Amino acid sequence: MIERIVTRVQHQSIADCITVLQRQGLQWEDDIEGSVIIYNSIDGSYSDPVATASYSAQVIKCVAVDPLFEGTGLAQRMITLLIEELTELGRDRLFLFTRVKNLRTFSELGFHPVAIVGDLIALLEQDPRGISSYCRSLAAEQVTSTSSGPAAALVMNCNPFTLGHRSIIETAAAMSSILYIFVVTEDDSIFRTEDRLELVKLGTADLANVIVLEGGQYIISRNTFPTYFLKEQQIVDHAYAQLDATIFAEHIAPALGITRRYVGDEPFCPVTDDYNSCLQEILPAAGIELTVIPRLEHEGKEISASEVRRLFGAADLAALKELVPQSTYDFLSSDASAYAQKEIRRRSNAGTGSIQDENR
Amino acid sequence: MRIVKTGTAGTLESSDVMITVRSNGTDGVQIALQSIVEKQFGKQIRATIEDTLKSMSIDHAYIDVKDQGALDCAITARLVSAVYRAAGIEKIDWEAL
Amino acid sequence: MDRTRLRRSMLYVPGNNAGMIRDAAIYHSDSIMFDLEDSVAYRQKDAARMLVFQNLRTLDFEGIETVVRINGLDTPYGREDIRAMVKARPDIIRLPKTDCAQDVQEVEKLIEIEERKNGMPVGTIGMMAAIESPLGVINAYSIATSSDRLIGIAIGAEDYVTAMKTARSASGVEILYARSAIVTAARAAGICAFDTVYSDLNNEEGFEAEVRLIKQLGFDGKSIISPRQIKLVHDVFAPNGKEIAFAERVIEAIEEAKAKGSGVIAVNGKMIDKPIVERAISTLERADAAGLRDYSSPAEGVLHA
Repeated sequence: MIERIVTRVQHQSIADCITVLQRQGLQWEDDIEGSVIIYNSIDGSYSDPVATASYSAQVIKCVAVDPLFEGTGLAQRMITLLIEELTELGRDRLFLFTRVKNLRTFSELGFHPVAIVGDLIALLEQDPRGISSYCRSLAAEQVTSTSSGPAAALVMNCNPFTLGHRSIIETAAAMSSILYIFVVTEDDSIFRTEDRLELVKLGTADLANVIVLEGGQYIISRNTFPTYFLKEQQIVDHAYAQLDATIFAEHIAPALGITRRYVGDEPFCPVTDDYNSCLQEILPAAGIELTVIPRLEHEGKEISASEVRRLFGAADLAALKELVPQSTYDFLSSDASAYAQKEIRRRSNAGTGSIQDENR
Repeated sequence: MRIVKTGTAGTLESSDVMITVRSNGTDGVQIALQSIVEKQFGKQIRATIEDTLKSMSIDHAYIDVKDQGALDCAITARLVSAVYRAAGIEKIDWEAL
Repeated sequence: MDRTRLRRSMLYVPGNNAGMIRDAAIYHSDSIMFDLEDSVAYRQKDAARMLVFQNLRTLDFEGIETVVRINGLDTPYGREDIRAMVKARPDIIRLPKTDCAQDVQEVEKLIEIEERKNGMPVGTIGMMAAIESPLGVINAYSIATSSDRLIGIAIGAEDYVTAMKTARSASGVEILYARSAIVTAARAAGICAFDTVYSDLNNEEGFEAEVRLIKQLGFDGKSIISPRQIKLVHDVFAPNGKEIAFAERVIEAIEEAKAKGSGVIAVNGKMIDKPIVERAISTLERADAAGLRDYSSPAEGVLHA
């Protein structure tokens, strides 16, 4: 047996990972940053791969062991190596995706279930306090309102905050006693999480029953929903979307007493559209009502964050002013947002296509 | 010693233990133990961990223990390594051990 | 520190492997070598050092000799290894990649400082030096005589063959000179000589051939990487019936001569001198270790009387 840790993934190594994964009916995922592969080798050569595990951000996934080598400690060995690797990278709150049938193996290795979807997929975490301490911190934000209507939630990326978002929030707030807005934590967005969060707070400061929270690790994050961030695919892995919805239904909503979730109507983005239909499957069964809110139109077109980013990239502040609240406009016209403009230009030059697709 | 970051030591392999030490504010010492021999040795493992922490003057820490049947001396070793890592201190005080 | 004990098999145990350390004693190799060097990844050096430290201080190795291979002083880990290991008190500290006498003496100095700090008699910890380079082979005798603490020198073949611009082969012809040089230097210095590891666990024939070869060259024993290799080494190093019988007669003859106050000793009409007596003692030790002596015979207890 020899081990090979691949951090800068090479073609041959990917091929070896894929070989092992496919024998188990699993798939390689494009956001993988590094892998460990174990070969059944007697002469020290890299032939006959029999086990593999990979990671992306702080998530361990795509773990597979050839059935002939099950029970020989290879999973333990690989997970140990990846924990060492990730700890070295400063990532110390690890998550792990596995098929439900392998749940026991990983609980024995000290990973605790966060959520399980049917007999498909489970998300586990290393920190036994993880989800519960997150829920406790949420509960500390809970506000009880005397006005009528349900406590409700809205999850948004707000990249950046536009009048479109503002309109959805106004509509939702008017129908709720209290409205919690979760701003997705994701540093791959053009605008930094802290800036997006701040703009939502500024842009909703006048709405008394709106509370803005950071989405954190458990709402549409790379942990709960990796394929959401693989926009090239333009499809949602159904299992991941279900998992995200399950975490919301089982942990987050109860912590804040939420009984309704709003989503923006999303005709142009198949990923979000798919996600919304997943929420529709899972939330009502858990006693959470799902309500779709249409987007605000401006001159016959829906206001989208992607249009705002395009105008911002082109430095068309005049056109942009029509689409965003004053607070967002002030930010976009200040030096504080220069980094984002650079990033938009860099990405459009690189032709990654990741800025034209989403309205989130 | 003071816990300033998360520190992990040990492995998930048989007869070893993986110990993660995290800060716990001022909430004292909390031990989350998961062991394949919890029924028989859970109490003893906790005692080993508490004694070691006391000897290192750790008053506040969250100790996550995944035990695969390690001997007491291996548990002590992994805990001490994890605490030093979590305290960001490289120089071990061998005399005190 | 015991200079004369039997050291046929030295079982190599990776220092960060808790399971292997835990089980190391149950196979009854003559020595156990806990490795802090090549088998430990850089980022686990601290954890391995702590694991070996705690195990050495706690576990009973049932009289098996304990050896720790430390990192060289040219690495960031060597000095800390010495600090920790002297306190943990193995029988022997093994120095890797020894090129000259000074390498040994520098480590010895540090060991002495730590012994004093820990209130141990100076000289408590023995030393062993592994020679793994052409320069080390050239300096073998001066290394072997560099310190009173040295109980033996060993050849490490992997780095050596690379430096020699060659590679390991089945016959081992590429390290024949180095093996001979090391065993000769050890004999000249009056200390033990240990052979390198054989890493192909699946080739038992090749392993046996190599063990026979190094025994014939005069080595005291061999480093081994798996408990599976112990039995074969012990079998090869075990003396045969004829050798045991002769050795027993030599010892009997000495006892008889002593009792009679006679100065001249002969067995089968052959004069017995000091080297033959020493070889007889060593043969009987190896025979005892292999459980080969028949204690119902009249020779019982003679050796240890």
